[in-house]
Amino acid sequence: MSALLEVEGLQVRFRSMGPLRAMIRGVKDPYIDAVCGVSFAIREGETLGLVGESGSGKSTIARAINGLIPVHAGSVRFRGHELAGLGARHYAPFRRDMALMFQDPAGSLSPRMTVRSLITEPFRIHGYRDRDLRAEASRLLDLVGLTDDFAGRFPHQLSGGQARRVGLARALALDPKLILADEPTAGLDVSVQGEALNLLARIQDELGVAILIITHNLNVVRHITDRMAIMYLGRFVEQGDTGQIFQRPHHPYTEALLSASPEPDPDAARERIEITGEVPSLMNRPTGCEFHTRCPYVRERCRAETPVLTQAGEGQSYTCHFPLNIES
Amino acid sequence: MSTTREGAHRVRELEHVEIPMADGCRLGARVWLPEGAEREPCPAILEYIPYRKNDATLPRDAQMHPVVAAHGYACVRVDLRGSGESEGVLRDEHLQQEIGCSILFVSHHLGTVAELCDDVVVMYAGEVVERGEIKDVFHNPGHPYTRALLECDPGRIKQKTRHLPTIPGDVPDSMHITPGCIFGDRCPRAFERCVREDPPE
Repeated sequence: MSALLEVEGLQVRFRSMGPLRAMIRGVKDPYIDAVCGVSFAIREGETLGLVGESGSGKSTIARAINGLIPVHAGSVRFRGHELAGLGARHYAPFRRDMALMFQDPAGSLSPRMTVRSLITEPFRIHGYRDRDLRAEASRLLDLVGLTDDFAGRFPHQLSGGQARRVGLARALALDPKLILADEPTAGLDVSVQGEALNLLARIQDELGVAILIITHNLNVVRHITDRMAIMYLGRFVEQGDTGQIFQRPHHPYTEALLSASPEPDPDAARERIEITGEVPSLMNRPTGCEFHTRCPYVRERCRAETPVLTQAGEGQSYTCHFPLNIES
Repeated sequence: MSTTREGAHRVRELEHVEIPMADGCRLGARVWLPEGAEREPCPAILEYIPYRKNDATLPRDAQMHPVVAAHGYACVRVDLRGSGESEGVLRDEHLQQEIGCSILFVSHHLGTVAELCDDVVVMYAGEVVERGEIKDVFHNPGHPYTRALLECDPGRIKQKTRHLPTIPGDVPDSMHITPGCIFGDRCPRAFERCVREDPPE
């Protein structure tokens, strides 16, 4: 399988203050780096999970890939074409091939439109005038396991699970090659969450679409992703095969994150690795390894020297001076 | 200490108050009191986050607090345990040890419920189907819905799978509830009586 999406050294910056205030205060670089130097690839039909604390830059990556926010530096290659720096008009044809699924499906569906107009809106936006929208709506509803009766309903007449199906139908309208799913199961009970994820898996098997899934739910990541990446302060601290990372995390942050996931067993022994302190500010990044202020295994070298990206065989990589679970 | 008059109550600002916790730890606070609050308790607005007592929002809020207090509401800015002028170690925000109150925790996350809660109430379509101590309910679920829900949790499934368990069917339409057990039409163990009668608690 070839790479569908290749991201190389992606950097996204946001302005932290207006140009005038920056001039008055003498701030030379009034920006914060929300994503700095992230590299990864997604192959056709593959699922990549993106995890990390709130504010670590996960959603920003998805939005930069989709062209909703500009790429400051680095490259985003999609189906062999460079997207970084493309204007809106040139971006449109590529955006057709990647679909966004939002966190809050009910909130992202216009309350005044019927399900039929919602799921066929992408055809209108992208100027497919010759399509039979009624037939397309039927096809899409069928694809996500909803009956034709839903076409005439409004968003408030849908349950949480049904709204997510409609969101997925809308995402699938233009037959995308990549789905960018931002917290697709937040706020669902475990049964409906299972339905939504099974549906996504079936769609992937049928259409061969690749999925980038952003979630806080590590159990979801463990079951449905092929590979995963762990973010901290806008960088990947570790990425690789999901099964391998769950079995042998190399980065202390990954280990702590995995141990923080509560087990649905009231008697489960709490062997939680506690991360002390708060997430440092992006305006004031720590020196050396950026995790050193909270790392339970911190040593002198970590404070001074920035660790480089290290390959650990079979596609797993990490940035840490003293990685865990390495056989020497 | 300064006293201002605006609104119905005179206001006293106490710049440093130490609030003793149940375990002896003392928290530093700044308080705006409507006068007479010691004799006649009044509602209070509690700001309770790290470094709250003297943080950068103080100049802004200090204009607001006396006005609120003048209308009969005490305002309290407390430094969270282990921050600012409070004693102790800052382990996490909003622990039960500091609040010392009961928590009603509403969640879909069964793992968090298992870890955090003492008792649990399981609801389905507007009805309580099961309640009890967390250990009893999670280890020996009595209601088929509770059992099915627990089985659906991907956190319980050790072997990686692309097909997660679900509960077939849909939640009943709350506008047209039929007699009988509320979970009857989705229950794998339903029999004739379940459709006819509401089961007793």
